[in-house]
Amino acid sequence: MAENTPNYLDPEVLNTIAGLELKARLIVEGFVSGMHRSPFHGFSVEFAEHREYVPGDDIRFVDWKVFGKSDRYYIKQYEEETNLRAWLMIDTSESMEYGSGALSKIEYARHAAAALAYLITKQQDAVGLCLFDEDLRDILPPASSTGHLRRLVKMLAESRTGGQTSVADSVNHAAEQFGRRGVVIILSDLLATADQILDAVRRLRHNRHEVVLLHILDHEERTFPFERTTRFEGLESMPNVMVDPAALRTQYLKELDGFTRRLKKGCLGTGADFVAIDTKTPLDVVLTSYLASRGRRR
Amino acid sequence: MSATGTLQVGTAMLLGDAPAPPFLLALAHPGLLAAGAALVAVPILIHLFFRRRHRVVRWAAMDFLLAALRKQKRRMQVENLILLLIRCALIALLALALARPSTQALALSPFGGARATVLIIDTSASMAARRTGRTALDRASERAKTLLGDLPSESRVTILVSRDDSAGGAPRALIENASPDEARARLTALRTSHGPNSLAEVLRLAGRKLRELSGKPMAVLLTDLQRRDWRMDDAQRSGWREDVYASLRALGRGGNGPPAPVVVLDVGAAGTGNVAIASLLPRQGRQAFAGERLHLGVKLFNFGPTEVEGHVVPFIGREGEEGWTKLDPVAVQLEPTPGEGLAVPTLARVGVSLRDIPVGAARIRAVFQPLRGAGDRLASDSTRLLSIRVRPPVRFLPVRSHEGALRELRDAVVSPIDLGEPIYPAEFGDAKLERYDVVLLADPALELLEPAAIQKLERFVRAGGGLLAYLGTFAEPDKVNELFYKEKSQGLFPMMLATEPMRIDDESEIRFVPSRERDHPLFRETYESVVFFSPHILGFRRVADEFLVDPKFRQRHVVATYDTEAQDAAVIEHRLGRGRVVIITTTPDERAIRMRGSILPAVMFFNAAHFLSADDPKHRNGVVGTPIRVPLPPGAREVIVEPPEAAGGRIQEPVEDETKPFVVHNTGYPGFYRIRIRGSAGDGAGLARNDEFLAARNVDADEGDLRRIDAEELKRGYQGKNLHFTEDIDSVAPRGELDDRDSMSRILLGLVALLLLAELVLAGRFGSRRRSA
Repeated sequence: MAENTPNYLDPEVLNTIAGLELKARLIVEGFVSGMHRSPFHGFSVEFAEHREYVPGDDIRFVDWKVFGKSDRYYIKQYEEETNLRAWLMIDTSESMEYGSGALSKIEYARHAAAALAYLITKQQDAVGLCLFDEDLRDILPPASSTGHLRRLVKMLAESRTGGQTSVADSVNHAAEQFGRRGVVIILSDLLATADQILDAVRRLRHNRHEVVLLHILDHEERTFPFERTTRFEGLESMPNVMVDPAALRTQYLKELDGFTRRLKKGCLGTGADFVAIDTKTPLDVVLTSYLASRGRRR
Repeated sequence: MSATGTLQVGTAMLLGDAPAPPFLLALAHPGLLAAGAALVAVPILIHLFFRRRHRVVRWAAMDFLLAALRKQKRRMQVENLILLLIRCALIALLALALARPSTQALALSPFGGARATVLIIDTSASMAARRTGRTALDRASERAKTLLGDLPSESRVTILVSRDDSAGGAPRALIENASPDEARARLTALRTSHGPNSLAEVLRLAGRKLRELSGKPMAVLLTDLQRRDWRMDDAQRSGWREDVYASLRALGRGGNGPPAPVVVLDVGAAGTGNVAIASLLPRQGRQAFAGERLHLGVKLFNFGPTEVEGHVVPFIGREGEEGWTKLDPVAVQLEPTPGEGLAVPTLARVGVSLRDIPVGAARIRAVFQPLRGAGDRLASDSTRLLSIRVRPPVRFLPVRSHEGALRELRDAVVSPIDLGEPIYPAEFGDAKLERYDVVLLADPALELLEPAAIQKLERFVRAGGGLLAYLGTFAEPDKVNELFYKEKSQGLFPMMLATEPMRIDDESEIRFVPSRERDHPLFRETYESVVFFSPHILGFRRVADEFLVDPKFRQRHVVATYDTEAQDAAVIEHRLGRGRVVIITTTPDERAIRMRGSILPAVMFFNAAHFLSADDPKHRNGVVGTPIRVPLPPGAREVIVEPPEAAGGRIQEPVEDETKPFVVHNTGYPGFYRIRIRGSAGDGAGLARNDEFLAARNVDADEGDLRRIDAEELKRGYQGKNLHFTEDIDSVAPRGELDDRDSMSRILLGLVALLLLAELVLAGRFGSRRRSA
């Protein structure tokens, strides 16, 4: 791996995740096809055959139609496909620069994207990268080689922030290039209207992509902890305001909560995943928690 | 502000020029309120401070912030305002509580109800002294107007002036039992008088007037706090004027009426008076005889901090005529006033020869002239005037039997006096008595006087002549009684001498009455037979033991002191017809004692002569119309003279020759003339002294002492229950019936606690940021 990239592949983070996979083999059958069940297998599996149920099998896979006809329990067995295509869409707009803690939102997104790319590559699936702000900025088509991963991480490292967020336009343009269905993981602060974002999600879902919205907000953006009179200078051409934050905190959090609820509800309605991330939360915790819950859902 | 103060709402302080509406609160500690008022600004300043020192954050999630702001803006403004008001009120109320207010400060509050108010205005001459262009009476009038304007309209007011020249210098009421508006209108009639006042007298009058008014009583004295009104001149004496003190206390206690707060309002102005001639008085009596030498005492005060050397220059002139004769100056060295401000008087003795002064009214002027370079200012009264009556010399016809008696008399005389050519008793029958004023019987052998001579003498006295009988060793009581005594005081002697020596062992029988109290009942009853004794026991004993008055007359006698300070001889005085008989008995004069080695009769001729004059001496102070001479310091370029208010106008003239005194001729009005001397170009260059002083015309000698009593000293000396010495009447909260300070403070502290609670709750609701603020 390039010397300037280890920041985005934090060995501890990845080690924790890998360790978790190894230790939780019985729960999650593995990320990598052939060895484990992939957390992303839902859209890349083909039905293979039935076999008779034996105690210990997951009853979710019992074929109830066969049971209705034959009054016997059969388990559906699937054949894993290994040609999963995953797209990591990283928001590089100016608003992603904000950060009150150790990591800004963009840095957090870079870490997360790198970790996910590593995992996906490790399970020998293809992962691509798409950087966007007002529009698409850079695209790295999916591949599953180690060399590709290195290029992807390098591209992440060299990405620059700027411009305004336009999730809808970017996604629309990206969807034209994503081709056959895959997993689209969007890492963004989603500072746009909920309708625009949900429209974009619907568009992806219409193309049969699985969509994961990783809503990355800084801890201060989530809690609005300011006390003293503060002059907030808007990024992305937003106006400046001088306010007493304490007086606005409740209403601000209310606004944020309303926005998040709308997104969650919209995602739920379209079958997309929505994950709210606080940059203060360790990356490993976020990823393992999400991947574990995803695994449970399959 | 003083130790106390007043909060007024929406107006200037009471002392301001604009008429002020009634005040609401009086404060025990106005300084705390002032501090609190300043602290009220603290929350505002904190707010502004934090706005200035804001933090800057480049913010991404601006949509949510703007949305929140849109919805919260109005509410935040209201909340901010509420919190700000609460915090300001919190501090203000706390300061007010600590300042211990009273809503009933001297009841000038419109809610205080009707007030029975007696305003006492000091109208003594010193109130005409100007400072910064205004007299103390001007200030008193303004203060009185404001005060009356503040009184509830149903109040009743009596205004007293402390001295009115038209009332013989007594206090009188300017207006009685009037409404505040009527009383205000009468204030235009205020005038200063030409002499001193008696505070005790006017305070007693105030007590009587107060009882005639209905309403809650209050007495306000507006005065310049002139020292002489409050403190004795002589530091060795008791210091404070007991009569003033007693009158104040009596007024405060209310006499028979309810207690009345008495407020002494200072309307004077502190000055830097340095050297003043406080008094100019003859040392013996207040009339002089042509040809004599008149001895004057000039009392000077140096009120400044540095020693002053100079001269007292006496001048003499005829009343009603221009021109003065300068007499020999007397050098004086005036000690500086010590640190505590008590000036020690210096007494300069000035002798004025009346040898060349014709009979009639004369005037004497004493001027203090500092040595050049003495480096001190004269800011007070440095000129004194005195009018005297120069009487013709008394023509004596001494009748003696031996030279010794006459020598005794002559030796005992204070000032050289021409006793004339003595004759023997046998020669008396041929004497032409119309050439003489006084027949002096210098212990003659009375048996040598013929009855015809005695009748001649009696006619002489009845026609207005004087008889001075000195009874010495030749006097035989039997012969004296036979020749001089007739019943019903129809003889030359009003009583018989006892034929046997009489001793008065029980002196308690003797009543001593000051002879100046001519209206004393004892005088009225027995005036035709009055015995004046020296207050000194030696003199009394001598009379009683040796010269004897018949005991049968004793019950008719008034034993009186004539003048305790002058140490008059013991005399028996008797009026007969138009004339007067004085029987000289003995004297305690120390020179007589030394002269003869024992107590022997002697005569103070000088004083005795006064008795032989038909008219009582009259004292008139100051002379209007006499010019004021202003010695000019080097560098003087302009002189400004401000005459008494009644005269109006002012004189402003350039100095043409600074080596000559500047003369103010137009001094036709009594009172104080303020004289200011300016240096070149108005910058005062070269003027180290004499840049300002007051000269007086027709102002009482004591009244010219413009020293003020220190307010703190006054408080220490007089402060008592219901007595208030202040510059600010609004601060006065009477004790007892009116004082509600404690309850007011408790209520205010309760409000503070409530506000504090409200602030905590609201701040908690509105945001934690506010709590920390």
